[in-house]
Amino acid sequence: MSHASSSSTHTFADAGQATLVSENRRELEKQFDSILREHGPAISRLAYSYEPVAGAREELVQDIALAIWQALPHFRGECSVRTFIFRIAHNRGLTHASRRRPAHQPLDDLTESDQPIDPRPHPEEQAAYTDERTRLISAIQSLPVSHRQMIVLMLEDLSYAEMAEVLGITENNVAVRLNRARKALKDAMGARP
Amino acid sequence: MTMIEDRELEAWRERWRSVAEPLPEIHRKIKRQNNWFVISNVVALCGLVAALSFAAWAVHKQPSGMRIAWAIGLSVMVFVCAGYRIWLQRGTWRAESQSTRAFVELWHRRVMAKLRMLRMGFYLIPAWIVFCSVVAAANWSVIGPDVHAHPRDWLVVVGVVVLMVAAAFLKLAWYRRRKLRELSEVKRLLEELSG
Repeated sequence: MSHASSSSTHTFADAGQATLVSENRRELEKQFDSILREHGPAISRLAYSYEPVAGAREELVQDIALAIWQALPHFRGECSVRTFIFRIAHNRGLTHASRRRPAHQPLDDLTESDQPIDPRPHPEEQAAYTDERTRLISAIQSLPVSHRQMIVLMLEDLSYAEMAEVLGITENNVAVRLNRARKALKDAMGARP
Repeated sequence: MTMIEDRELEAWRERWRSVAEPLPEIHRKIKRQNNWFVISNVVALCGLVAALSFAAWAVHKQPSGMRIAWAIGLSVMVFVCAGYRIWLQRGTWRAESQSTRAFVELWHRRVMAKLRMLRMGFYLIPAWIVFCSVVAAANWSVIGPDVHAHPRDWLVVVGVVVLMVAAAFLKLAWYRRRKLRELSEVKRLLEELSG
């Protein structure tokens, strides 16, 4: 009798645990979806800085999202969600860049479907704007990794403290590197037609 | 920072933010990855149970000292592999949520550890050949008559073993070259990040 009761308690405990696990999972899925909604565009922009080829870039974005999903259950809030996302995205981007080293393709493969809709009414304005954007991205892609990371974080409007947390350096160091990276970007943009 | 520079930054930001591609389908990949994770772990668990059962069955069938030593060796190897798998699965997420600098430093340490393990592999293969030769020589009274009775079968066995050893050497050499390339890449990254 006691055995039966203990066994049934065990079953209830197991069922309770299973419910808790599935609830946790649902909670994680919700959290993950909200992260993608909020930071998805930033992740896809960040992927541009590491991968110029559209197909490979899509794969990189999926890899970053997968890495975030795998890391999410272990996120204890030691840093902001944005810092957490950018850390994972940059680290995954670094691994991706070191594994695949294709010839530099400065966005020549940017297809029509990749181009966001531009609200500018005049075709000349649109063309000039697209040209400028292509020049900027191409220049970012040509920078060394450390400059590239700084520039992307700056363009994503992260504070010095957040940049320092993402990169693992001091805030003073961020300021110095950011100046260097901006100068390098200006030079790279100037060098490009 | 001057106003002109700030305007320049705002212009860059505006262009940068207009580069938003629609996110690719991610949930399917995650589901596939989760399924693959479960399947690979079930397969690994089945492999572990099968290897241990085979070792137990072999000892039960012929409980000689040699068989027992072999079964212990196999069991230890299986548990070491299982431990390594668990460590790998637990460790992979940690690295990526660290700062870039910590991640690259850890990456460097891991590549170095892999290279050390590969070097050990290069020593282990000849050591294993020597060990097998010694065991065969010590048991020649048992093996010898069988070799004389079925020389072709034994030739095939030796041929397969030689091919396997050669393949293992080639694989190790290829993997080492890959890791050395990775090491130089990681060193370059570390230098760049420290600069």
